[in-house]
Amino acid sequence: MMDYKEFKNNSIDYLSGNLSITERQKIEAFLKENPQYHNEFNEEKLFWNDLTEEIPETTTAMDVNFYTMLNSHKKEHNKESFFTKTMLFFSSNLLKRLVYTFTILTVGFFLGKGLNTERETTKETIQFAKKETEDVRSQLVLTLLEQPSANKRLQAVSEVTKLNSVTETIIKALFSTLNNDSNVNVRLSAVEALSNYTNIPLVREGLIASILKQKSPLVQITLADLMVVLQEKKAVESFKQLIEEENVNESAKQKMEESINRII
Amino acid sequence: MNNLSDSTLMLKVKSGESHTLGLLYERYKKRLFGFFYQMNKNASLSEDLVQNVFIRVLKYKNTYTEESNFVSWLFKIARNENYDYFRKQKKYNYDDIDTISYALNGTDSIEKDIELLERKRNLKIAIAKLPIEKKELIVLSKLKELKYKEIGEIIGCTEGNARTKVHRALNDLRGVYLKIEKS
Repeated sequence: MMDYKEFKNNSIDYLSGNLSITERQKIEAFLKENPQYHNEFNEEKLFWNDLTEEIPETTTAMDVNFYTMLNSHKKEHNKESFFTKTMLFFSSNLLKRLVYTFTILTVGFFLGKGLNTERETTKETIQFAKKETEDVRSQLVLTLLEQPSANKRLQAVSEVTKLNSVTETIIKALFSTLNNDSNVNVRLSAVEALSNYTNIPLVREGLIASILKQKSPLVQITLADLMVVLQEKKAVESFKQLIEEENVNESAKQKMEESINRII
Repeated sequence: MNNLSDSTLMLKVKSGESHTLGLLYERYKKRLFGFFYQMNKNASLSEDLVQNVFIRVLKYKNTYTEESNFVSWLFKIARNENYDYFRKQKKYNYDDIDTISYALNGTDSIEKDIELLERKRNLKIAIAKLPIEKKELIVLSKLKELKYKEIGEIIGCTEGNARTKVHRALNDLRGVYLKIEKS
């Protein structure tokens, strides 16, 4: 049986989740039997809860900085391991001397050449920086697409639109989102993002293949509209198949019929 | 990948798959930011400190072992980062303690809202008056994932000792808070 001293001593542990189930039950039983301590416990609870602060949201700049750091770390790591392997390969004495001589000659050659082509180097640096930003953004997209929060996944899809060019990995990730994501808004934004890359045959084929996989009328209607814009005749067969199915929404069927007529 | 435990992900980072750190970052960025923000009340500085924590995670990844508890290990790094920063600054900034605003709850009466604001404001002043070690203990004990065992691992003492320290810090806080209330 718990006494007041023990109750007083353990109430903070109870509020901070540090007690086992049995210990928690003891406190609860004590309060039930001693209603005169309810006020004291409520005061303690209020004090504990008031300690919870409102924390501002973090900014996207923090994410970008993190992924930039991670990306440059990966590059450095790759460079390091390449260097280590090379050094191991040329570990014999004779080869070492030859390699050193050759390296010094090569460095000298490029140093001389480099001094004459300063402008080219600046251009290269800018291009390298641009590529770096693109890599970071791609990495950000791929990580955000894996997040359990739908908002994060929506953010991922909107990040895709900021990319100058997309890689096959990003396209595949977008299709995986379009065909498997549980949230209809995320799937809709994936269609929107993919519609920017319909000049890539892989994207057009993927969008056609995706028609039959969609269960939401909203996505079906969006795809029907998109196929009209693209005048994609290959999509007609898929739409016809969906129209035949019983469990497809009537408005979506109507939209698909309209689209078939407008494609032909 | 998303379902893997923190420890499995960290061991992958350790083995060279540094891209996996992205998932750990997404899992812990808010909690770390919250920790720093409560310690310094500066959002931009807190974001920088979160970034520094992950730089340290990469730097010291080899110290992580299968037996380590990831959350304790991570917050130990965060704690060191916080100490190092303020050691460099050599002073603590309490200036903007009164500038933090709270959203009023529309359903409650204005009197209750004012009372709540007043109480929270006084509590904030009281927390700011605590020494950094005690303040840190209170912030850590408010994090859901951290029980006395983990707090002990972070500050380098036993579970029982951590409990005593948290209790003392809260008692001190209550004392300072009551003084402010009466004045």
